[in-house]
Amino acid sequence: MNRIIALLILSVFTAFGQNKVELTGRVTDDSGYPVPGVNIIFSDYGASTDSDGFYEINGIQAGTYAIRFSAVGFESKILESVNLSSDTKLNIILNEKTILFDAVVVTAGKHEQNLKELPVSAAVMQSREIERKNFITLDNALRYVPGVSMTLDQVSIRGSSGYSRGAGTRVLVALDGIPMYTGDSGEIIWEVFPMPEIERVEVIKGAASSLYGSSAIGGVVNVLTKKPGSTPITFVRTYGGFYDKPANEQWDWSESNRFFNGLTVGHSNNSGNLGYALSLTRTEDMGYRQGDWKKRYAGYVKLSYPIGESDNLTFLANGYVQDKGTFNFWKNLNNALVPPDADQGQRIPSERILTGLIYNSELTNKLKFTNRLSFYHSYWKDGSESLNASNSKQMRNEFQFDYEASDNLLFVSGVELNYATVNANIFGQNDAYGFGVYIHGDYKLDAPVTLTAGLRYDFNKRKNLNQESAVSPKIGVNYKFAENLSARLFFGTGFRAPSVAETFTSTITSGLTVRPNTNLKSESNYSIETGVNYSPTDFLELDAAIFYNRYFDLIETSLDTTNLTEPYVYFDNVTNARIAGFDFSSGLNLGDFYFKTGYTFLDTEDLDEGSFLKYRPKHLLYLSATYRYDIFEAGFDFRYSSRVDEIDDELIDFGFVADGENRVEIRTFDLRFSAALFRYNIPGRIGVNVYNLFNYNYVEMIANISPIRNISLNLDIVM
Amino acid sequence: MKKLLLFTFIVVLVSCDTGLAPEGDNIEDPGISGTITFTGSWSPDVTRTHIVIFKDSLKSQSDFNALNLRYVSLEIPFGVSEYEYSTLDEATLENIQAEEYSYFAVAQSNTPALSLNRADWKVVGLWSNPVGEPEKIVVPPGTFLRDIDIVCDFNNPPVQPPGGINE
Repeated sequence: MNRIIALLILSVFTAFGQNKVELTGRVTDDSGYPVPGVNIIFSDYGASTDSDGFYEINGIQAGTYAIRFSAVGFESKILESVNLSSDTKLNIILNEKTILFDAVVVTAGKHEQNLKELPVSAAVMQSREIERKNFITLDNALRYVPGVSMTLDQVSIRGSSGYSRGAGTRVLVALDGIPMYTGDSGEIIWEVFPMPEIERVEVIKGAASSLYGSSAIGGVVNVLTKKPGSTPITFVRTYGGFYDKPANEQWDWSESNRFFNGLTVGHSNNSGNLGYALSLTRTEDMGYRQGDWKKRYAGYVKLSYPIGESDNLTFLANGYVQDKGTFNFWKNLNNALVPPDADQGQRIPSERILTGLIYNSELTNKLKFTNRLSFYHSYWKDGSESLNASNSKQMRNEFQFDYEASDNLLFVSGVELNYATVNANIFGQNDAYGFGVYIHGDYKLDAPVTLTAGLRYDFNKRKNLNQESAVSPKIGVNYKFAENLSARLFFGTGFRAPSVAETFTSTITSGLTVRPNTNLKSESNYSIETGVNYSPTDFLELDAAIFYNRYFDLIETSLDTTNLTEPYVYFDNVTNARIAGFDFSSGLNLGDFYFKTGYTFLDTEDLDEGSFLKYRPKHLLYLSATYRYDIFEAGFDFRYSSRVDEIDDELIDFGFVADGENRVEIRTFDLRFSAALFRYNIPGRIGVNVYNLFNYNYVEMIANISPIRNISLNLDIVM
Repeated sequence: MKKLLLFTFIVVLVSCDTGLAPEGDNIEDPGISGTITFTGSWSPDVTRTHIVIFKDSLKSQSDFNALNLRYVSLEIPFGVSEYEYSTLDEATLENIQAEEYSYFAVAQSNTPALSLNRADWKVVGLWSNPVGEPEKIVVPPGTFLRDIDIVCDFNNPPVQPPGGINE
C-alpha cells in the first residue's frame, strides 16, 4: 500500500513537473531600444527586465493568463488570454508615456530630483521627441520647449537674450554637465551636440549661477547622453529631404531643388567591464538660401568603466569637421534668400572637439565624489575681407562632493577651474581664467516642504585686464500640499563674464567695422519666481509660474557714430533692464492622444531707454498634439511668437542692412507621421516630417528668413 | 476626436498666411554690372577683349560653344585700366536672364574677328572663389546685381579652362 501511495505521489509530481513551463523574452520601446525595470506580473508570477530588457520566469503552471507589463515612464500593456502550454518567448514593445512633469532631473541641484519637487521651473524633452520630430541640431529642438525662444543661434529663456552675433550666451548649455561654450566667443555651437545619442534634455528656467557660474543668467540647458549598453545595439538613423520652392516666385533664386540628408551609424556594447558607445554622422544641406550650404562629419565616443563596486570612469569624445557657406543678411526684401553681392561665395570651415573624463566615486554610503575634466577645442576661419580665423581651447575641471548629512538633508559642493586660450587674428592672442567655489543644500522638512539654498563665489580674469569676482546666492522652497499639488518660490542670481570675443574683437565683416572694448565688465541679474504644479486627474498636468527678472549692465552691441564716415560696432555694458511675465504649461494624456501647450508672456523694459528690449517677443505660444493608432503616430506642432518691437535699428539706419525693418509675427505649423516597423520584423521606425507646412515667411533676426517649407523622410533602425 | 479635428482646423486657419513678401514695386530687370580693373601691361598682340558669361561650366573644350555662351560684351578698349560694364548696355551678345551662370570671365584674343574657337582665347580675369576656382553667379528674379567686380592681373592670369592653345 505504501508503495502504491509513493507511486501516486511520484506520478503527481512528475505530472506537475511536465506542466511547468518557462516564459522568456525582451521588452523594447517602439524605437527598438531595450527597456530595463519592466515589471511582468500575472497570477502569482512576476519578474523584472534586466538592464538589457530581457526577462525570464521559470516554473509556471501551464495555463492561460492575463499578463501585465508595466514600467515607470511607459504606458502599461496587458495581454489577455496568453496560452502558456509550453515554453514561450514573448517580445513586447512598450510605448513611452508622454509626461511633462513627472520626471527625474539632475540639473537643478546637480543630483537626482523629482521635477515636481523643484523650487524652480523646469522642463524636460525626451529622446523620443527628438527622434520623432527629426531635429537635426539641438537649437531646433529647443524652439519647441515652452518658455524657450531662439533668435537664430542665440538661445533665450524667458527673454534672457536678444541677439549678439556669435558672442556670448546668457543660457549655460552643457553636455552631461560639462559647459559647452567656446573659449573665444563664448558661444554655443549647436552642431556639436550628438543628437542620436541624447537621452533627454533638461531645461532650468531662472538664474542659476549659484551652481553653474558664468553664463547661467537665464537658466541652464543640460543635454544628457545615453549610457553605453551592456549588450550589442547597433543603430542606423538616416533622413533625406528637400526644401520646397519659396512662397514668392521672386525669391526663387535656384534652378535646382535644394536637398538635405544625413546618416548616423552607431554601436553600443561592452567588452568585459568596459561599456562603449560609438557613432559616426554625416550631414549635408544645400540650404534654401544662396550660399547657405553645409556639410558636416561628426564622431562620438562614450566609454564607461566601473572601478570596483562603487566607482566609475566615463570618457567622452565628441566633435565634428564642417564646411559651410555664409549668410549674414539678405540682399534686400526683394531678394530675401540671396546675400549681398559682396558676400557671395564666402565659406567658413570649422572643427570642434570636446573630450571629457568623468569620474564618479562613492567614498562612503553618505559621501559621493565626482570629477569632470574637459577640453574643448574650437577652430574656424571665414572668407570675409579680414580673413578672420580663430583657434581656441577651453579647459575645465570640476570637483563635486555630494554629502548626505541625514535622510532629509543633502549637500552638494564643489570647485570649478577653467582656462581658455585664444589665438586669433580677430580676437588677438589672449587668454582668460577663473575659478568658482559653490555649495548647495536641499533640506526636506517633516512637513512636505523642501528647502533649497546655495551660494557660489566666482573669480575671473582676462589677459591684461582687471580681475572680476561675483557672489551668486539662491534660495527656494517647494511645498507639496498633496501628491498632485505643489507650489514653489525661488530667488536666484546670475552673472556672465564677458567673452574674449566681446572684449577683444577687431575686424571688418559684411561691411561692418567691429572694435575692441577692454572696459567691458560682467553683466548680472537676479530672478524671482513663484509657481504651482497641479494634476487634477491622472491624465491632466498643469504648471504655471509668475516671474520677475532684473538685469544689470547687460552687454549689447553698440554703434559708435562719432565719426559719421567711419561708424563702428563694439560691445558695451549699456542696458539695465527688467523682464516680468508669466508662463503656463499643460499636458493632456488620453492614452492614444497627447496634447501639450506652453504659453509665455514677457513684459520687457530697457530701463535706460524706456523701451522694449531688442528681439524679445511679448507672447510665445506652443501647441502640440500627437495621436497614436496601433503602429502609427501622427501629430502637429504649432509655434507662435509675436512680432518683436525692438530690433537693431542702427544697422538699418546706417545702411548696413537693406530692408531690415521688415518683420512679422512667427507662425509655423509642422506635421509629422511615423510608423513602427516591428510588425514587419524590422526593428525600427519610419517617419515623414513637414516643417513650416504653409511656407510662412518670417525672420527671427533681421534680414534672415527662417527655413521655408521642407519635407523629409527619416528611417531609424535598431538592431 | 471631433474636438481635436476642430482644434487642428483652427490652428491651421491661423497658420494660413505667407508672412513676409517682396515689396513688388522694386523689381528690376535682371542683369549684372560692375567694374573690370586691369593691372600689368597689355600685350601688344591683343586685338580684342570681351566680358564673357557662360551658362554651364567649361569642363571640356566642347563646352565652349555658342549655345552655352550667354553674354559677350562690346570690345573693351585696348589699354584701359578700368572698365565699367552693365549687361543691360549694348552688347555683342546679350541673353542674361534670372538664372544661374557658371562661368564669368574677361577674355582676350589675337584674332581680328570674333572667334568661337577656344584656342583663340586667353582668360585674363575670372569671377572666382578665394582659391581661384570659377564661382557661380546667380541672378535672382527681378534683381540687377551690382558691384560684381573682376580684377585682371596680366602677370597672374587665372586658371585657363580646357582647350586652350597650349593643350
